[in-house]
Amino acid sequence: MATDTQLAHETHAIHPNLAENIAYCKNMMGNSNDLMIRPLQSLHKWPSMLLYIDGLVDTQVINQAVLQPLMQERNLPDFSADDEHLSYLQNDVLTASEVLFIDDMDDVLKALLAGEAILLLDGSTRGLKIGAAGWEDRPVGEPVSQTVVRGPMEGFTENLRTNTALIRKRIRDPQLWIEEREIGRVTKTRVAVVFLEHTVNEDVVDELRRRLDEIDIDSILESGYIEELIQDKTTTIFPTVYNSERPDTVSAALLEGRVAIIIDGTPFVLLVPALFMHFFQSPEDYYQRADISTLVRMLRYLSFLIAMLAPSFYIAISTFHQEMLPTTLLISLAAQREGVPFPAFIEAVLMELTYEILREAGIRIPRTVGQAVSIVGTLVIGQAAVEAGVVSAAMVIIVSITAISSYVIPENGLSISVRILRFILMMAAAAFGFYGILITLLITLTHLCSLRSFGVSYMSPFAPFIQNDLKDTLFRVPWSHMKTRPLSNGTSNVTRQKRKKTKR
Amino acid sequence: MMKSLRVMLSLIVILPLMSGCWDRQELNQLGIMLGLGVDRDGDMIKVSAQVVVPREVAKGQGSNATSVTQYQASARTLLEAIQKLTETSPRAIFMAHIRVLVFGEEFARENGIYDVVEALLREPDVRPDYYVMVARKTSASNILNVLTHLEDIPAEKLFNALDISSKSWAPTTTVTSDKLMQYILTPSMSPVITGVELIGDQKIAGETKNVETIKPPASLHFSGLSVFRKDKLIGWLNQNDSKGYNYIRDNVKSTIGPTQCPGGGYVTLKTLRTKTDHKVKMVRGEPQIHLKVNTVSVIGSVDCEMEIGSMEAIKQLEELAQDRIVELMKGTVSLVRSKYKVDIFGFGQDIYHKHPKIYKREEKNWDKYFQNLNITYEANVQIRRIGTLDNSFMKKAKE
Repeated sequence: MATDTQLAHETHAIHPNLAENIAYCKNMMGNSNDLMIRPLQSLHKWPSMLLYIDGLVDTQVINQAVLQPLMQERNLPDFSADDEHLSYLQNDVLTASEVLFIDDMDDVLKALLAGEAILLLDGSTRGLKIGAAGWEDRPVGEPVSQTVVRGPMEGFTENLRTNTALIRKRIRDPQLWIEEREIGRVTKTRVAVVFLEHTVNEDVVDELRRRLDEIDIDSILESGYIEELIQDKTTTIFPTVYNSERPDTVSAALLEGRVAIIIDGTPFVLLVPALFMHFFQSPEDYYQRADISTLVRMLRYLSFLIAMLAPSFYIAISTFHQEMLPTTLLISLAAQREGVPFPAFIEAVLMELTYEILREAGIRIPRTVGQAVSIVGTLVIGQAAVEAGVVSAAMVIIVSITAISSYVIPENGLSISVRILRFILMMAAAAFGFYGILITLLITLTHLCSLRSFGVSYMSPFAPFIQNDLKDTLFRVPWSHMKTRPLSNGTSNVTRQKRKKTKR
Repeated sequence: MMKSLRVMLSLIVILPLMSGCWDRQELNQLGIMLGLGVDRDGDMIKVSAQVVVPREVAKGQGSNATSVTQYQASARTLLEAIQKLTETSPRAIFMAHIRVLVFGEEFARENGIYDVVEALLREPDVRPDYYVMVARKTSASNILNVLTHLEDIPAEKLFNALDISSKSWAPTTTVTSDKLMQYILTPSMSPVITGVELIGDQKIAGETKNVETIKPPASLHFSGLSVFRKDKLIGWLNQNDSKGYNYIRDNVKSTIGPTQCPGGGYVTLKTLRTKTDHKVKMVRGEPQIHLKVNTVSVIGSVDCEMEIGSMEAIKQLEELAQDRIVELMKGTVSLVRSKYKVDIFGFGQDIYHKHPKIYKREEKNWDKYFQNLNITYEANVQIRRIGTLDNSFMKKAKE
């Protein structure tokens, strides 16, 4: 339908003749069956048409706040001016919460598709747009991807309004600003930029606005679209935009001076700027006691390293640096490798690929057959492969610990980069041993240090080193010591707690 | 951007192929050598490599074959001989994990051990933390041809046995190759290496039969210390002399020693910890070495009619033990002086640290100077506990 985008550029004023308008709407929407056209006599006097899209409006609202008042008989005052009866309907009759004038047919269509009802009166060049949007939505439920043991169990939904409300519920501050815009020529997806005016870094918001306005795409169906379109241009395998489906995580980020981007139609809310260390923070860190949170955090950094390095270390040690192993371990590894036909590298790639395939299949396998497949996966590929002598038992251990460790990282984005990096490291290890691993890690580290997320250095507060921010990176200090907001975000309001000592 | 990406991608693809993965050795291509024996074979060196058979070490999949095998080759130099082992071995010999280096007594006496030690130290992937031993009255290859209980790998058994006995039994001591090199190179010092002896039936020592019985027909024992002049073996110390040597060198960690009771019989003292200090004093312009042993012991057993329940008795026992230690040390020193005439105790180093000038003067003919060096001995034994019993019940039991 190349023509309708062209037509949209011309303005179509509302025609006084109702039939013309209806014809236009029907024409534009290709007689779609969900366009409901309800002819009626408003207040038993003016012939009019009520248009709405079935399924996008709340019929309850249509019935009680639109049709019911319109069907009453009233003693009408005299109307002198032309459109005065419209104002009368708007001000005195319709009980719906949002009633606005509308005078362009394209706006009419837009409003219809946004779930609003349109009341057109015969002989009038203006119509009324009545807010009656209401459709089936998933209720607020437990977030699936970022679960916690302790902490709120609410997750965002697909509805933008519900999502903003979930944040507002947590931050009752008038300075919590929500800017909405529509992105996507065809989908016209609503995108809300949310920030705390008094803590946010204005530059980040300006930059974000600029990048959002630059987007020219036909559709936005998920926050992933926006994420890829607004992230910094450097090619990288590391995520520079954080996403979360937890209102508490988003609220905490807002309070640290970050900016949230809520996209209608997805529960995943984006957060910028996203730093490397953010991907190691779990909301639970802040709900549990500081000591255990610190321990768990360090565990996460450790698992990050394991998930990235375990297979390549095994390859490097077993094919290049056998002298580094304790003798007994060397002998037992050598015993396991007896009769294995492949070099350690091929073996590792084989197992890692198998795991990736299993994992990918696991996501798509219908739940009913899932169990059968997992038995095949564990038994056949794990045990049988070892017994058949195709792979060594040590390699199965390595792949398992790698796979499990990669799930310790709280945000999926980073574990994806780790997966990619793992294969590169394995190749480097197979070719050059520890030397290759070291070189690859050095390149990676340099790359990480050169990355930026919305103008903020990705590796801060490690590089550049900001001592004050270390309180919430490797460690999570008790709340009583979290006096300031993180400086690396460039927040304009640093004080979190007044530096006054309270006696307890 | 695209260009750099293209370069990166091609690098990633090509590099692993180009390198050919040099130096790459899969674990199952290695013949892991754990024990290395060096013997004399005419004017050549005969090496005997004890190589692990990994399949036999692994639990469950092994057959009844031995867990190690021995390859032998003779050549003019050590490395040549090791390389020559591939004539018989299907795998390249991997030397990084040597646990024990055994010299045949004949080789140590005639050829000297220096060349071998240096060759191994020079080799970059050999860890220098293996123990060096001398096969007493036999060849190194025989020592490495004994199957042992508990440890599947005989070299590992030698290593562990020496390690544990040096910690809890005074007459043995450990020497790693780097230390040994240091001793050889120090002008005023001669190395001492533990000897290992094969006792029993040599013929079936290397057969699985040897580990099929409770009492193995052939077994390995550490027996005394061998004394070297520079890098050549010149003789042996017996058990008591070895003890004395270790006391002087502060090698004793803990041990057990019987002390004669005044009225016959023995009291066994368990030494918990001991420390020997070397002090250098100047007496009439000549240096004098003062050896002081501090020992903390407990009474292990009382096999005599001594009443140990009183402070006086403890005092008396302490004095007896002190005398014994002093006697041990004195005996060793006089034996070494009269028989071997080399300084194995490192007294030269003590003097060098304190009075370098005097040492420099005497360095050339140190061994002669050592003969007349004035040495004083002192031992201080403390008995802390007497165990869970008081006086011995021997008298009552015998009545």
